[in-house]
Amino acid sequence: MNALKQSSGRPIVTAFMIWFSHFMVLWAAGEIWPHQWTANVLAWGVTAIALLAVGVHYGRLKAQHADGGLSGWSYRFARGASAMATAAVVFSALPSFVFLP
Amino acid sequence: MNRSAPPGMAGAVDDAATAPSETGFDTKLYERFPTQGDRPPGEFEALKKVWETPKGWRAFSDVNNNFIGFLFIVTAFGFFVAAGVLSLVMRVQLAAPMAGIVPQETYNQLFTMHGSVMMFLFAVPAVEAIAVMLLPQMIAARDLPFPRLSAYSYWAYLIGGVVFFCSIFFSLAPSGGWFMYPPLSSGVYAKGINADFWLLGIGFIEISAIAGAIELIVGVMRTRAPGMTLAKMPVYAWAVLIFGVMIILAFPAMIMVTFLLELERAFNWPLFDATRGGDPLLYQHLFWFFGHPDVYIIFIPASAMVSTMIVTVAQKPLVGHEIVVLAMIATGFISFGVWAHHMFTVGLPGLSAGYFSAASMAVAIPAGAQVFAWIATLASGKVQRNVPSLFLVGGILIFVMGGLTGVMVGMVAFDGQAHDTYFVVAHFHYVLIGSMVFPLFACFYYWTPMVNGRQLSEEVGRWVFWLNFVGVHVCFLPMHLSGLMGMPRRVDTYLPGRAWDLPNLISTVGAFIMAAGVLLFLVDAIRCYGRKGGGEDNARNVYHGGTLEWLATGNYAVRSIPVVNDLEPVWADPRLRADVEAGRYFLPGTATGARETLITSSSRAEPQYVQIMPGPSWWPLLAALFTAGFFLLLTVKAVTLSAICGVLTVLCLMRWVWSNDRHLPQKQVDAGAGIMLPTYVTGPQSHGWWAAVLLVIVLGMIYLMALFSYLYLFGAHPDWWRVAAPRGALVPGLLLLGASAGLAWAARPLMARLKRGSGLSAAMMTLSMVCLVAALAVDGLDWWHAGLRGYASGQGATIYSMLAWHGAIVVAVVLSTFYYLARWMRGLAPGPANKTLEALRILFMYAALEGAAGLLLPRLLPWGGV
Amino acid sequence: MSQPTSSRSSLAEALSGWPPPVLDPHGPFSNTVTTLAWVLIALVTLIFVLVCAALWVALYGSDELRAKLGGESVVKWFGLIVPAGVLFLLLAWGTTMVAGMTAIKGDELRMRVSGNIYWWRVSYLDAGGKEIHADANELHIPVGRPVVVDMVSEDVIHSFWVPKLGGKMDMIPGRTNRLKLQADKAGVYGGQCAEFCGGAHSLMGFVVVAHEPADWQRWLDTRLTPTPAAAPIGAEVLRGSQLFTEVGCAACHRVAGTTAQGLSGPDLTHVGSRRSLGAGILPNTRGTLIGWIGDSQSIKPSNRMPAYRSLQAAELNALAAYMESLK
Repeated sequence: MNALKQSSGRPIVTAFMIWFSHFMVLWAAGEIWPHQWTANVLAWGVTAIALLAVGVHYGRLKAQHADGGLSGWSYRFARGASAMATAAVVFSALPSFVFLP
Repeated sequence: MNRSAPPGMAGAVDDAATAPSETGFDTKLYERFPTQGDRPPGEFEALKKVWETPKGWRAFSDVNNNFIGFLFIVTAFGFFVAAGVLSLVMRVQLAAPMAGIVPQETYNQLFTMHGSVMMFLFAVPAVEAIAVMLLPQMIAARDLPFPRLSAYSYWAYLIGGVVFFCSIFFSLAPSGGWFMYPPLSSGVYAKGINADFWLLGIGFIEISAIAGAIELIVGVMRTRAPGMTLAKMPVYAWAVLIFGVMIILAFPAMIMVTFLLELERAFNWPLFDATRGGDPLLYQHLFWFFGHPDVYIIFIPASAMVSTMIVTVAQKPLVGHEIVVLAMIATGFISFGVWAHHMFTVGLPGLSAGYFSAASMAVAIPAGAQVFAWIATLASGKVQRNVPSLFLVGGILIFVMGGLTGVMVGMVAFDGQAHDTYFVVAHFHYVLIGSMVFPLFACFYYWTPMVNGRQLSEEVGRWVFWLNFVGVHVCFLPMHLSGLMGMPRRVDTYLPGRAWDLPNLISTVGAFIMAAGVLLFLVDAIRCYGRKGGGEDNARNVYHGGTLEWLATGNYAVRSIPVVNDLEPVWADPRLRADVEAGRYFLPGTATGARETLITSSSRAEPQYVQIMPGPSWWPLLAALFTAGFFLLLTVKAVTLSAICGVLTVLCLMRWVWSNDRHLPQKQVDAGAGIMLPTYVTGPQSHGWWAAVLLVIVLGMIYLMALFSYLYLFGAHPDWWRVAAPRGALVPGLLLLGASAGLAWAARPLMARLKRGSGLSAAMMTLSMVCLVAALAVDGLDWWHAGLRGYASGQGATIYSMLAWHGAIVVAVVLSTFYYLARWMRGLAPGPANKTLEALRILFMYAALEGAAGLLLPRLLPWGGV
Repeated sequence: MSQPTSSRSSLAEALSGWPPPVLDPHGPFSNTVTTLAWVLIALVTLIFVLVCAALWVALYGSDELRAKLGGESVVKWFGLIVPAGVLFLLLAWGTTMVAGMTAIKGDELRMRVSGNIYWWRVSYLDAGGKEIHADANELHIPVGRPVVVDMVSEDVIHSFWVPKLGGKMDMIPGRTNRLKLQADKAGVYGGQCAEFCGGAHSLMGFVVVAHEPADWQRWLDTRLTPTPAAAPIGAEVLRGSQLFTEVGCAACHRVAGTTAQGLSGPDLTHVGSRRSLGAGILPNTRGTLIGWIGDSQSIKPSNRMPAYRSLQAAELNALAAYMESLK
């Protein structure tokens, strides 16, 4: 197989950076607009965006792997990272549904 | 004689065929290994000679990771014992109500020192020390990439740590708790220099921890054995990479927060003083942004040690290896999102607290994955019954208990009761002892044969284990109860009649049982390490481990650097040891007559160049001595002497760095089997470039914390923003900074292209420095003339703090310029490229960016005046 | 004035550590947390037992059991998927249960406690937040009604914690936090500072007294009715009141209706009826009064009240008698 395979950690970092950005925006909103609907609504929007981003990221990974452009190890890692990042985003979003102003 | 290809070499060649080369290295060259025939006579002797530790007192100038790493581990353990003794005194005091064994202030100093020494002088240094000693061996590197830097880090830590610890004997120890919250730690309530000892002493030890982290990251990424791709890298190497990156990102917050508190104490700038627009919570956010990742910085490498040892103890590969690596990465990331779970009772809005609670639950998941990976690995093999396995299994049990109480206190409502009580004390001792201290003991028993060819006593070891295991439970289990009974933390005594007497007495007994175990260990360790001779040079692989550190036969680690492609290369290839020792792989001797190791590419570990490494040198030790002198004399307010030490530090550092950038007569050398590799590499491939980039990331994080402080105080107390932002400095400042950045940037390409490039680039760097200084002056004077003063308000305090920190960076830039000019004048900064220019240029460009951030932020926010 | 039927040794009741106060709730908020605590304890014990069992099997189990345990799917299921599910459910349940529990509606009784080194300034507030009565180191609340207490600090960070009634709330200078308290049974509840504040942090306690609603109202009315400055009765008490000013107590302490208006120390207008002295650490008797006034530094080192070792026994007795008379 002479296909070019990528074997780096970047897909993993991307997945977790999506979570970290999601977390930071949620927290900052909670600090800037305490006890106000703005914080919650913003949280829901950003959660949707984050989940979408992880989904897109995962889709791209699958395509790249099917093409043969991603080594097996790198793909499994990136898949696992996407799953963990998704779980973390879901966890992080929960309080915004429970703590309403 | 035709032998079949060894699995390491064959695997590397196959692997390389499936992916593009990162560097253009022809991986078919691997097939030349292992070389046949005998090595030339004298080659091995030359290798041994150049790596030898000097004899007698000159040994202290050695910088090799085995020497420094060993001292480092011993020192860290020494601090563990010292802090443990402090806790014994505390436990005697608490064994009975109103016991009166030590006065109140002494007790408060004791618990502050116990926590500070354990966290700053034992826990993080111990895991860094083990990495210093173990990492190069495990990846078959001869040493860490910047040996004198690790030597400097160690000596600075030793001197600073000992002086800091001794403060308790003079009643000068800080007494504000190991987190030193203001206002209790501010100049108003903590008079005297005790708190300054903590701020300046610990602050500069953190600098040495960061230096260690930069080195470890470059070590993992660039000095692995050829063929050891990321996928085939040991779990421990992953952990070192992860915790190194975490240190880079988290420790800056500690540097900035100690800087800010020291500014408040020294100059009365109200950063945390609510009466003038500061905020005590700013300190807590900054401190815990560092503090929580700190404990995972301790946990992650220790957990990887456990993973490594469990593999050997079960004689089976790690079940779920990829899950474990991913779990460590996930833990590393998520641990940056939980910090305010230490602040659940400060009155955070419910939603904000909820976010931190959610992340705290999430971070438990990867930790649990690791535990089950360990259990599955143990189950998959036949577990050896020895002392390391005792400590490993015992540690897992203790850690799981601590992790579960951690889930409990991660729930905000329960934490409302448990926070700041002995329940939490029980929790964190369980997690730290289970995840770090027990693995540390396991590590001593497991790797001592590698260090000195001997073994600690298995019989005594069983006693050490059981005394510690029983002692831990007897001491800390009752603390869950005393916390639920209402006993807060950090109390020097308690009233009778509260039923707290019995759990406390039991805890005290437990503490002494643990102490007995540690004492027994010390006796055995001294016996084992103190004996002269008798140990073989060979790392005796008594536990039958599979990783490369077991091939080490001296300071140089392995006689020749093998091509590997397995997670347990020693298991995969029974002939590996013989081949390596016979010099049949890379660098079987010394190609240039100096100490050398192989620099390989970051993902696929393809050989790139041979790094010439420094031998013994006194400069790191002297620089560390003077650095310690600078900070500690400043603490006791001996400003002149401190300044002298500062100057001497700079001179020692410059003299040290002077020999860094050496052009050798041999541009290329035979790295083994006729493969020619360069000896001097510039550009983004150079490991020095990587270190400079990592340093700049650290500086950027520190400054980011300063910017955050500005934003936080402005958001929380905008009524204290009373000086309208002067706009006069904006245009000249930005122009000067743009010029500074541009000049520094252009210095490198111009030097490469022009014949007189060397002089021109020196001039450009000088001009860049001048612009940077001018920009700082313009910015600072702009505020001064607008009437802003540091002591007047939160606005003044944060702005002048940012200017002060930036000023320190500018001083470094100025000194660097003089250094570079000196080199240029001596002809040591030649074109077309040299490493010194490249490293300094990165610093200068960063400094300009930092200056721009400091110039812009306070002038853009608030925008419309105050 | 009315007091709960418990005796003067109610300080002992307040300080009692058994049964463990966190698991012995006497109010709705602490009750909810205790339920959470027990569920957590049960869950955590179950998980620990499972892990121990797994370890046992790994080390000592039969070959077939160990083979089942030794696979990657065990790690994926028991290490990742099941914990993720359990933790998510725990998070959802735990946060839902307490969300809004301590939400402040605005119609509750209002108080303010201000942390000091090493004592508590207590204020009773009207609905608009104005102080209507001042006291120290002791709070009186009615049973069955929520009370919102503003938490402030006049110096360093302290933390107010009454484990039987609820979680703690930090008192941070420059910030007003609010804690909702409610007791469901009459009684005396001990509290203690739970954020290290230096020096005698370990001896900074207080007492919360919960009265039946009618008793509480009577207590409050008595406190709020401005009594005419009653002439001190008895020679000893009279001498004590004179000494109070002569020795300098009035510089720091306030006794309503007299010239003593010092605010840097606890208000002593009703010290005679307090359950404790020295901020929740000593019972209130003639002996402890004398001991405290004469040498509080030996009892509670580094507290802000100097020792008065030069006072004679008769003078100390007089001052103590005066204190006792201030009910």
